Amino acid sequence: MSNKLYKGTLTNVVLKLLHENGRMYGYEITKKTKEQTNGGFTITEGALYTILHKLEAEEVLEVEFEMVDGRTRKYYKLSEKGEKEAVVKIEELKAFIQNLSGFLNPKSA
Amino acid sequence: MKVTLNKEQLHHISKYIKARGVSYTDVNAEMTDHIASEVEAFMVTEEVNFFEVVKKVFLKYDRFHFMRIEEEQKNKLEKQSWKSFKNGFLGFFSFPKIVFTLCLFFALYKLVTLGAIVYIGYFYCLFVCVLGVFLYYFKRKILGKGTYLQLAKFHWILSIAINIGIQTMLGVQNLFGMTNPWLSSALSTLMYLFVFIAIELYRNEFRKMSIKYV
Repeated sequence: MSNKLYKGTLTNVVLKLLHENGRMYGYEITKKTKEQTNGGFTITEGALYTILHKLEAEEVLEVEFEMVDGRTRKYYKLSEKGEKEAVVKIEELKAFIQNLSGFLNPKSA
Repeated sequence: MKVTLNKEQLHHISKYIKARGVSYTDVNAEMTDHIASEVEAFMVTEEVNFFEVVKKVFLKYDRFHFMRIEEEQKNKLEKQSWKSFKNGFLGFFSFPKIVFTLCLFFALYKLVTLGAIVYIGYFYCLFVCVLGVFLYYFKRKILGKGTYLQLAKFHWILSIAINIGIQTMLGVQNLFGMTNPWLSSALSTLMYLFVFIAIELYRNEFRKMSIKYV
């Protein structure tokens, strides 16, 4: 499936995952996305870290460093501002999907 | 069974990422962790050579992938440093700090007009020498070697700082040919103010780092 379709929703996906799972690290986010969509949706590492670093700079995300298996792991979690933003974005995403579904299936709507 | 990479293997990945243009330590650490996690996942499912797997994983990324992340981090840090400077600068303008600055200004003004400023640094040096000799002969046993050295170092650094401060102030006066004590005191106070802001900024950065690296 074309990744262009997903591009605009990547930030919302990351926010939703962090909202549900608390703190997560980069690789975990890519793995979780793949698992939850049965491989239908994969976030490329380039796109993921661009989003994570941007959200960190905007103070939507907070970071924590921890030593795991002999290496430094960077965990991301939603800040107070991020929690509020995540709720709004998830609602927006749901509304968008509902509208799109209504558009694609006019009879069922 | 979970596979965990050893120190040498992690070092190999980190070196590889560095060779691809990632010089920031935290970006390198994050990328190393990501690649290492991928390599470990591969090694669980297939019994393969570590170097082969690393090669395979790196093939996924185009040549500029790591450089792009590095560039983004650079831009982010530039924005953050400007923001911290702005916050540090504005943070100075609070009630106790302004009162302290005004007191410092008037103290400097008084010292300049009395002509005593040149001698203060030398008096402090003399005091430190006497104190040093006193501590060395009488208190060393009580304080212990480490504490004595710490105390001596602190006073010597303070003495140097005071002397540099006074010499800078006199330098400012000479440089601008200022005979007006108000103006030279104000300029010197301003210099101390900037030094204070710089120290505050560093202190904040170190505090943030110690929170991050728990």
